[in-house]
Amino acid sequence: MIPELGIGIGWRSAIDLTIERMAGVDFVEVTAEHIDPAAVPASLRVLRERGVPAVVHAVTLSLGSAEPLDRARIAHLAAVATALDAPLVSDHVAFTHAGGLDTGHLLPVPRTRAALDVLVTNVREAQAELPVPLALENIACLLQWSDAELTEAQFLSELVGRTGCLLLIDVANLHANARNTGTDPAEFLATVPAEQVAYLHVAGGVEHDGIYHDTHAHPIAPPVLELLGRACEQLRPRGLLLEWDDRYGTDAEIAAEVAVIRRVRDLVQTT
Amino acid sequence: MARGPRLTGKPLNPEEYGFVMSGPVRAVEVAIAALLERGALRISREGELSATGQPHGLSRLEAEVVEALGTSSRPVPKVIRTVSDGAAVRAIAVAVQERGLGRRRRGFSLRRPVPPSRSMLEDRLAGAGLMPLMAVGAMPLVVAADGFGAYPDEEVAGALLAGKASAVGGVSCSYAWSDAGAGPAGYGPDHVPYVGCSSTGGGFGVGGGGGSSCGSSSGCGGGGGCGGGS
Repeated sequence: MIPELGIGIGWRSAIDLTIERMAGVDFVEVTAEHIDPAAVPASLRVLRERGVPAVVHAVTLSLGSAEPLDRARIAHLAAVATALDAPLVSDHVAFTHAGGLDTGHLLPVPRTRAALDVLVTNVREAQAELPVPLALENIACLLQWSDAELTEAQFLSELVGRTGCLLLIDVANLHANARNTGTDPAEFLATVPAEQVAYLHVAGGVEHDGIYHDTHAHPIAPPVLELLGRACEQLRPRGLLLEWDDRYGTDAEIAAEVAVIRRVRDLVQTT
Repeated sequence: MARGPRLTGKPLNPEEYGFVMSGPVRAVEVAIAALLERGALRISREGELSATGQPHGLSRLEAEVVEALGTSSRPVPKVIRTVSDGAAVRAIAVAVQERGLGRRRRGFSLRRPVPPSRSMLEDRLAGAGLMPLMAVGAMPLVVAADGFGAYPDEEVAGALLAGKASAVGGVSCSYAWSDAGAGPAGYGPDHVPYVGCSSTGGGFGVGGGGGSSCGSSSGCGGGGGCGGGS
């Protein structure tokens, strides 16, 4: 069963006190790679003692790599989830390393049946070693592999059907892909299995020369907020979470972004 | 009785008061505390400072703090080390000298400088009309007098001190004072601080610089991960 999460924000050490003191934070998301499960930061201990759930988000499992999983990364994610008593964990439908090389970025998985088979195998292996449900996120990409056999939504739907994984839908990534690679957000929202959506990501970005940059360091763009409203209507997610990773504004500015997300969610719930 | 320097001029501002009370580092601490209070800076529990992009109405020293941070976060000692050697602190040093505070030490005395009590110094500043024009207990004044530990928000004070404590080597300053008759002729009854600071990055001296040293080093680490689309 997917827990009700509410409105949250990505916990980052640079803004730990800001988050602790912010009203209306129902849950936080922690980046697994930044946490030592044997030395959980004091701020997270404070939040957990208040009963604020912490979900754990990984970025380096590289579940789309056509090679064996790095068991140490899975074990680390599991340990962080246990340390924080996380209700679920997540990573991306992407690969970040292969053949001994680390890309430093989330790269898209080819949307072919062969690549899906690889992904399904890796996801099942990861699920077997994780103590809580695994959600997988759509990424923003500046390129698409040729010869795609499935749309992104179809690809995710088949992944869910074969693994039982949850989905973490990043609305800003969805907008970025629509803007940069011509994908169709309406088809995406109509196709993905809403009942498997754990929560949504929302982040700021900026457009330069016709390219949308998912910076996580700017205010949420109006088209992303509009898409967030549509996603809330169609997916009825259990949680919405702001990702703000750099060039943090004032406490008031961060709180205002969280409040905007809450208003969007509330507007949808009252209609 | 030897004649002391005449204390005169306009009241000290909080940064100048901090400088007089404890030297260059304290002046920077006052600037950091004031920026935090106004929301122009943020500090993490681990003592990492960052600017929030609200650089309005800054003092020269505050502007140097914000500039030292840029768009990244830095540990408190690193910021202090950078800024306490800067032009703004030097200007403060000159400004307090012009009021008769902190004279160049001439000659050499074998007598150990004896610091005056804080109350004596405050009485002298008050008597000369140099105390900052702020309500007693105002944040900048308490930090100027007592350092980061006096910041009224305990969690923020803890973070400020955590940042200092976590730095390798930390930051420390000590100060020489003249007391009646202890210094060279002309220092008389005035309990005037001789303040100075030197760091690994280069020396800095004001008013003779005797008996004062300051050094810091810090370690800074940051998390990494995959960028984009997460």
